Amino acid sequence: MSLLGGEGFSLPLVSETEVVDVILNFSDSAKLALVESMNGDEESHVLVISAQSGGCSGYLYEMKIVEDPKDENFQRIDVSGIGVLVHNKDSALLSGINVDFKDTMMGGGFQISNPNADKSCGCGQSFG
Amino acid sequence: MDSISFHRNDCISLISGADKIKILDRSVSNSLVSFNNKEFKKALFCNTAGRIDDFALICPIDDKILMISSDEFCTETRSKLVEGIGWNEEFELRDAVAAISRFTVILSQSKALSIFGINEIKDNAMEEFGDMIILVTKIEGLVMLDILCQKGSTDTLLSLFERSDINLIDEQKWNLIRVKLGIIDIEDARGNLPWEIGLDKLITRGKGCYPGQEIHARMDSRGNKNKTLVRVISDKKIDVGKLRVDGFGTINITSSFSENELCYSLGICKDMPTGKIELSLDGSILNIESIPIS
Repeated sequence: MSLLGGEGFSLPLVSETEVVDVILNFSDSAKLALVESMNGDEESHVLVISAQSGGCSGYLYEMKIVEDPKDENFQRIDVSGIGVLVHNKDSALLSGINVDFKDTMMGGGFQISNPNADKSCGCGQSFG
Repeated sequence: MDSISFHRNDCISLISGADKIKILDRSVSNSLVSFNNKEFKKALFCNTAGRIDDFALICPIDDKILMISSDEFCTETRSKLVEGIGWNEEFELRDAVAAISRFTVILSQSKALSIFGINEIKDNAMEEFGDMIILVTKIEGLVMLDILCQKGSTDTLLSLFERSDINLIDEQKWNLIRVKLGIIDIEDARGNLPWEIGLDKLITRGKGCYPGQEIHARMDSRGNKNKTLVRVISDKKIDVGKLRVDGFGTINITSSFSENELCYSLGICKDMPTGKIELSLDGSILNIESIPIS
């Protein structure tokens, strides 16, 4: 028997998930950029916006176009006919975010501002 | 010094899942992406101001990670990890407090070799001892062993201590010994920058972003290490908090314990040269000694 072996070694899982109804605010330029990014795949693909630990301020935003996972743990919001998904576990962190798109040579692309964040990183990709 | 053991009250978590290292690595200040064979690592959880929130021992065992962090900030540290799991990442954190015990043993190198069958005293080594795991840390002239055992094996370990003249001590005595030996605990570390308490070796430059990284990078580039961890011995009781000493400055006392009319404290003060100085404070004698940063 090793330290982690033996009978009765079943341990309680630590999980904390506060689930709220997600509200996302997309600017007109972000909506246009999203439609362009989808490139006609909006029937089969969705945009997933998520948060994960890391970055200078504690959490990092992530945006990914993926095949629709058809998973009931995601909340779906329709933005200009495109499915935008936020996982329930990220709902409390991401509800209320503003998504904008800036077409500039440096620092351009999708930008997220989060009114619920106490702090954010200089690069704008991390919040806490 | 007599050999001693202390039963610690820690936050013990068992972490599994394919993304366990990735998630841990992006949450702490040092790199956890690779471990040498039979090696454990110490890690710092910092806040966005670069100050220490918690520290942990990270022990890879089989295909899992055993993480030992401070009991006081157990929920906070676990939440940082659990709330930061990506939707497509595999990571499970389980509470192992009721299953595993940690004993810290301080003894001579020769006794560590003979009692626990360790071949070589190597810092940060992880040794197997029956169904237990021993984490080895070298301290000045002695060895600190952190022994992890299942709760059911506690009695076996306690009788080994008894047979081997290793005294089981209470928390008050443990705190006194650790202060005398300059071993910092979470109350000394929390809220301070890693440089201030000699833990800057737990920062990996160039690993990329983690909470506090912006501040650490700025401090590193400016070469700002202007505080020192000191041990203060006084014939008068010293309280935790700010201690103003004429002709020296202010010492932020983080731990303080008394024995036989002497008070032993750890604190942080403005940079002082290596060695000891003797000062007087309100009729009592203060011996202040910088603790070397390894």
